[in-house]
Amino acid sequence: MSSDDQLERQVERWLAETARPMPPELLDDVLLELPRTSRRSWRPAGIPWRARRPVLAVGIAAVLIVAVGLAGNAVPFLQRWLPAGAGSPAPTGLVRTWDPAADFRVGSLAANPSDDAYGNAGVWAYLYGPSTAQDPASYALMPTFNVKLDQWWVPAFRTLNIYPNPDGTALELHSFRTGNEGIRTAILRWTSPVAAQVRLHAQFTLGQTCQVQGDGVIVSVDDAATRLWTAAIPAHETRTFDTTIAVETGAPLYVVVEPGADSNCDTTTLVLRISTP
Amino acid sequence: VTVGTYGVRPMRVIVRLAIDGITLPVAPRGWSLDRQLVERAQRGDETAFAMLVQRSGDRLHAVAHHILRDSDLAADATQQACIEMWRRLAQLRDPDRFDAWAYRIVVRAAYAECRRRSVWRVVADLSGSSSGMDAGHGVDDRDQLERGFARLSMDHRTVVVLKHFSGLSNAEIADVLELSEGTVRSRLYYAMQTLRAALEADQRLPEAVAR
Repeated sequence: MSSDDQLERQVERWLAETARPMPPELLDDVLLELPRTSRRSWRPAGIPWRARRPVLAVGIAAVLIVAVGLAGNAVPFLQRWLPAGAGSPAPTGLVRTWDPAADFRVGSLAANPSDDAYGNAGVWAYLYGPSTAQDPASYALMPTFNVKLDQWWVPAFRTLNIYPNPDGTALELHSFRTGNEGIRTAILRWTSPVAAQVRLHAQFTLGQTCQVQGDGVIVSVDDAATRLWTAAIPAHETRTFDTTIAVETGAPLYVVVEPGADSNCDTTTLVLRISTP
Repeated sequence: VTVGTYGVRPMRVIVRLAIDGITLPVAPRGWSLDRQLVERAQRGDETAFAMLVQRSGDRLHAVAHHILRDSDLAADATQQACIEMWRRLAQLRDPDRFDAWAYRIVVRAAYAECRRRSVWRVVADLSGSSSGMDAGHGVDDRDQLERGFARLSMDHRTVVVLKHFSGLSNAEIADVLELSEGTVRSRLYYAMQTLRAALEADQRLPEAVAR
């Protein structure tokens, strides 16, 4: 290798190592700006990002104070008008089916873990893991629900997120990997609200078309201690896992998406159905 | 090494807003572009656009930061670039070229931000820095490159970043910057010579101290 090549490799490595990711607040600020920005408008974009931060912070604090106050007054009012028993579990003996995409908007969007459609609390949780190891103790809840993006995400790892697909029939999970910041897995947890035999049907698809297609993903289905199934999924392919297992009330099942050697084009579409016989 | 603030230096690359109708280069390496997302965003889907920004924001911000060498200026440039992208997205004729188109906008935003703030920061001449002599033995390649890179002009930094960080070819850089390929080659040659000189100067410093 010539000295020119060596210098170029050295510069490339240095540029990659010293690249600064976009501050998470900046994404939020761009999103706030969009509704007021017409494609046909030529007006200035407004106050620069740095100057706007304190203004935004004061504004958000004011909105939160008003919202909390209104919510406090609204709860007793709503309780008088809601039908008795609303939110209680469905009668036993019926077939129940849990679908994370359908349940994504059940209850409060700000809740993680969140409820299922039968009113059971904390059935779904949107998690991320610090490595590819099967270690539920190391999993953490995704901390932020981004209303604009309609997704649970981890701002520190910009593309680490879980959200429903456009037609609401599946969830899309996006794991994370960079050279500097390492690997993060995207994980969906179902905590059984019943003690029963359940059928689990999970279909994973890597359907994106990208210019840099990447090496696909690795998906797994785990219970608390055991890896029930795992598969590598290349681009434009689908893998399906179907099984029947016995679960106890409170027992977790984990659906884990790992990025593989790169995180290019890794958005993984998950259709998951868990149903009682 | 000391950092000084100087007046505006003339920009040879003029920031133009006429983006449509220009042949755009092919995608550089390392990008993951979802054509469907671009098409949805072009139809006015804000969520799709937000996801595009989320996916490409790191690389765009890194380009701005490498060019401007200032976190706040880079953040403002990235913000302005993203808003400009939203305004102009409908004019992007080929969604497959979104990434190169985005590079063009963020480079222009970086130049505009630098010009608007009327500041230009450079690192003082390395040869006049006694701290460089003192630190000679402990300086690694990263520090040497940092100093050499900071000594480059913005025009030269831009071509180095587009070439060696974004992975564009000379023809693609020429297209993004609206320069001739010869000018791009010339800037790259000068920039790499300057970086090499900075590295070699630092290597000579310990020898001089030893003598």
